[in-house]
Amino acid sequence: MNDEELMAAVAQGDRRAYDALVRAHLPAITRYSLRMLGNGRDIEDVAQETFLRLWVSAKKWDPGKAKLSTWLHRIAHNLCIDMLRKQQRVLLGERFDEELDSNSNFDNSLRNAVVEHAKEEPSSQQMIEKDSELSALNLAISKLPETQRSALLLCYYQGFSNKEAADITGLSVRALESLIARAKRSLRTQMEAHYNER
Amino acid sequence: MSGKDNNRIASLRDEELEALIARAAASTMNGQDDRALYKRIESRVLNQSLPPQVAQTPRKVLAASDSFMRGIDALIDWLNPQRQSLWRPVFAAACPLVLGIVIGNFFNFGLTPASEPNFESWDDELVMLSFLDMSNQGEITEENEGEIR
Repeated sequence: MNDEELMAAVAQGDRRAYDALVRAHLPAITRYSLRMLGNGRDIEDVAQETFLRLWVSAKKWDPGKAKLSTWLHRIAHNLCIDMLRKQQRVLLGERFDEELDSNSNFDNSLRNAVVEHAKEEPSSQQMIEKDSELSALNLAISKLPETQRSALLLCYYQGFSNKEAADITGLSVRALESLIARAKRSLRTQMEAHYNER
Repeated sequence: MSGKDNNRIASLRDEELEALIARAAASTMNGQDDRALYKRIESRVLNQSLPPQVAQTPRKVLAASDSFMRGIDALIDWLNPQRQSLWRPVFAAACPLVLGIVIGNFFNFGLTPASEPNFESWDDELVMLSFLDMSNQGEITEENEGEIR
């Protein structure tokens, strides 16, 4: 059965079709959430909520408009952004009286929030990675602003075309390409710094 | 990486960066811990309680309402296009007026010249109006007291 048939069955309340869709799409959603959030608890919440929405909104999915994987990634992407903003609010609340840099913009705060979170609870993947190049790259990616990170992950890690990634993030293709170019420039700078330190 | 030696500043070419990203992408979720995490997530997602599905609206009804909404959307897009063009909204605003004129020309709604009093001119009409005795209008008399209350 293809995605369309499985979704039609899910819309009728078929639990086995739901299980099949989870097994088919959960790995990609987990990978994306892992890269976006960097810690286990939030990834579990995002994955659970994504597939709950798949069940609840199965009738709303239009195969003519978007592939199921694109639709699911859009849900997961929005949930990840919500999570990151929640984390940022918590961190900002805790530090409000301490050392909040008045010049830092939203992206900087968000980036710091993610990096802090990653430091508190490093992802399991980071822990087992022995390749220092990859570790440095992962760290550099985790430091990217959320918009650049998601654009890069969707195109390079999740294998979406620029148009699909633009649909998922709600941006124009040109804006997405610009984000990717900036992300790569930033990664190159950080990786060069890493090589020079060695 | 080109220029890896310690004497020079390392520089990273585009293709080297892309190759590194590709390697990182391929290595995702390969570790034992990641597999354990994935198993935990999978079991949580598969075993979560799901609300019952509500009865599905028949496909025909859905398709009809969908095409209707698409028609409305297309009309709104046409009336209010992305590019500035004033004539479309003006045209849309004038449509009811034109429609009213057309309908008024085709239908008389029971109002024919014969159904109206035949006055030759508007001053005749005023003269006739002046003959109307309106002095008792609005007064409460013994006869109409009950009706008014």
